[in-house]
Amino acid sequence: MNMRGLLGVLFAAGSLVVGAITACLTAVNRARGAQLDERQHTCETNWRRNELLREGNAVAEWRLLCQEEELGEEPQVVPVVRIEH
Amino acid sequence: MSRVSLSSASGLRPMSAFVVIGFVVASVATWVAFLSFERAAGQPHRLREDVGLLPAYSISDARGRSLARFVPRFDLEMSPRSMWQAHTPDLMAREISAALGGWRSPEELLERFFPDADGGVIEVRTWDLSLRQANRLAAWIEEGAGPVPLEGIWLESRPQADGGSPFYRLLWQPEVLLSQRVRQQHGFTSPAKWTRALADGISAAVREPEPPSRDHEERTRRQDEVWSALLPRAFSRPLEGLPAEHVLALRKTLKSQGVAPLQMKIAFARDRIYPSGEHELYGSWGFTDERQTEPAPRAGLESLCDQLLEAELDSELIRTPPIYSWLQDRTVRGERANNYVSYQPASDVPVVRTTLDLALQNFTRRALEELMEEHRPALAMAIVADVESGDVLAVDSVEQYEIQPFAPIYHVFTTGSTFKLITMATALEEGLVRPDDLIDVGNGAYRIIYPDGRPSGRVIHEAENAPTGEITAATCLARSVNAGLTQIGLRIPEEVFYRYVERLGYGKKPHSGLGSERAGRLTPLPWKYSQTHASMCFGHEISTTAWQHVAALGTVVRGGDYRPLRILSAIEQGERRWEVQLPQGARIYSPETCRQVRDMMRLGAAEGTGDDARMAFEEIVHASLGEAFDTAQFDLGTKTGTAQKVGTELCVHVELSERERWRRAGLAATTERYRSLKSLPKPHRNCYTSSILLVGRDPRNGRELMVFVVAEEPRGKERFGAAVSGGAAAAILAEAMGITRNGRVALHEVVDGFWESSSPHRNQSEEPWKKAP
Repeated sequence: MNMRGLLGVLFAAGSLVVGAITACLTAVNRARGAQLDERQHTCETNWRRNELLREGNAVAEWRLLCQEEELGEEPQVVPVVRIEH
Repeated sequence: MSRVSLSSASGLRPMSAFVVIGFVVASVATWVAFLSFERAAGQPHRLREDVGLLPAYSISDARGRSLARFVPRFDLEMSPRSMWQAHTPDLMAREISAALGGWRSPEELLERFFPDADGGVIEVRTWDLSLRQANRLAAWIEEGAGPVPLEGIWLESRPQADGGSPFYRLLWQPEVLLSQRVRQQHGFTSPAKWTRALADGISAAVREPEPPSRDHEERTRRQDEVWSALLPRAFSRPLEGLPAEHVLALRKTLKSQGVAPLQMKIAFARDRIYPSGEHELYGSWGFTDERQTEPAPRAGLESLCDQLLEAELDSELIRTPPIYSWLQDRTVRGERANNYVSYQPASDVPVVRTTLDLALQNFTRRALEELMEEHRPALAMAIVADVESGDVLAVDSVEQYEIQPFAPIYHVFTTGSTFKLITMATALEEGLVRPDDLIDVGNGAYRIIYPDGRPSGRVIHEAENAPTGEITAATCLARSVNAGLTQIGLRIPEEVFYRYVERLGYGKKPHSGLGSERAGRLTPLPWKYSQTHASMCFGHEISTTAWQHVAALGTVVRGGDYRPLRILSAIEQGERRWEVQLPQGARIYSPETCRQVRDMMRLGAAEGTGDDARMAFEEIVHASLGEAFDTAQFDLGTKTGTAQKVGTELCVHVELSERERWRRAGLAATTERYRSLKSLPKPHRNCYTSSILLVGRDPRNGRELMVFVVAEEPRGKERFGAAVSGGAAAAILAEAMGITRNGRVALHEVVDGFWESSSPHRNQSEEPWKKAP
């Protein structure tokens, strides 16, 4: 095989490899993007949930301060869902 | 040595081959650029943005405790039309119910998922079908749609309004027609294909003799037309306030069922909440006119805060909504996937800090409720203010008849003897009297004498146990002697007196911004010497709201500068803070005049009409801080007021009970009805306005506080200002100074190392995206 033929084959092979890598990267990127999207929603949902819980605590604290009710045995704070990374 | 051939396998010369390759590469590059940059290339725009609501504002008290704020709410939003063309209702109802942990049953969900349905049946009102169309549809339902007749869809005749031949309506039960069972009976597995087939069948029957279209776009348009008729509602919010703990599970369910956001999604909404409870003072959020698409602040503090933010800081505040950007992706396998691109959090929520002390506000209400219970007035009001700044620490009212706007700015009452402070200050300022001038107040009854020495026809009477004979001017005020203050006040020329009173804000709306308010009444000049002028001297023939009166009395206590009451102190956003400037003071009296009046108030507390309130206060101090505590450090001053209703006035009990009767009967409060109030009986034997002003200095920080309490027409045994309102005023002052907490010994000062938590504290770990640099 002459030099030009060799170069042609190498170019073709190189193109295939680049294409394959690009496809892999795209797939990984996509999966990562989807994962991040999921986490974003999880985070935001948890943040909003925590806001609601915090408000519940503020109301309970206020009632206790005003002596409107006795402190119950059940904890006022519901544990926050932690995100595992 | 062999010679290398330069001819190519294709027969093209090398240069030609390069040109061909170059042309192909250039064409591909051009096409890629065209697709990328040219919108007309028809490439889908996949970048999406979810823009949240602009952050509103929160309201906090002076210590940072939340008065009003937004909290998130999770709603389920959907397009019934879009959703049920692609999904099976009963299956989705079961799945969603399970995801929500049984919060709503599948049956209830089905009912909510079809807002167009009545009892599970939707009547298609878009078409008034002719007999011919109805026959074709009936035939299609019986035979045309598959091996067995269709279930859950039928026709009913309807009479014409003009009595003509009847028309027909199509009715259907989505829960049955779109069910998996019926679908499978007709050989369909995909809900989308089934709904398209149904639409084609209905469209063909309704449109005949128009031939079925072979054009894809036209077919799709006709399908859309049919579904617009079958499910008119393109948007609904079947569930509001989803339980936060089930939201993630619901998200997973929607994803696993392949539900697109435009079909059904979890939406982020918000609720305005008042952690310490709703209050007339706070106002509310709502819709004030039909053009509004979002609720807005209305009335009370809410409205005042909104005006402040809009007017003064609109350009300086940063207000950006949260923006989430993502790529809408659809992979080769057809699965939907969203790709995260970026998230820009919302700007910090501006916090409007009020001057109120929430704990004191709460205690004030309790004190007023106790006063109501003990003395049964028509209403009781209280304002606690910082003397120097005019900052309102608490303001509240409790009414027996809950029908009027916020009473401290709306309810007008006769000031009574508390106004004598103004009379005395004005006379001192004008040099018409000195504190130690002796004045003959007679023997319980004083006949007004005209300046030329003629006796008038009016005799001023005193309350029980009033001093007699010659007493000092200071004692006149301390013992609240009508005859003394009348003689002193009559020395002030009426136009001078009027000018002072007007400058103190009487007779004008104070523009507190808190809602409906009234101006009160300041009788215009000229005054009759023995009538209006004399009455003004001891606080009759002048009426005002508690808000105005406290601002005016505060002028004397403060040292002579008139300053409107202030209820908002600062705006905060993140690390930034803007102070609300104190209103510019207007000099009315000299400090020396005010010092003399303040001395008289001390005398009033020590041995005058306010000694009941002083003793009540001292009792609280001794109970909380020990018997040995020197109560003189609190530097108390009082002025009481007990105004008997005059013959022409309407009793507050009578007026308010009558207005409540209107409300219960659904009668509008018309001008005629208001006029009719005048004809109601005026049983004035026991109609008094009992009020007290109690001033004290906190020895720990030197801060002076004033408490004004007024009770309208108490119906208990007592009627005098100190006896009715004094106890409440003393308890409120002790609470305001931190001597008590909730009326008890302040534990936080007893137990070292403990203090109140600051509930608005935000844990950064819950917002990990905000930690990114």
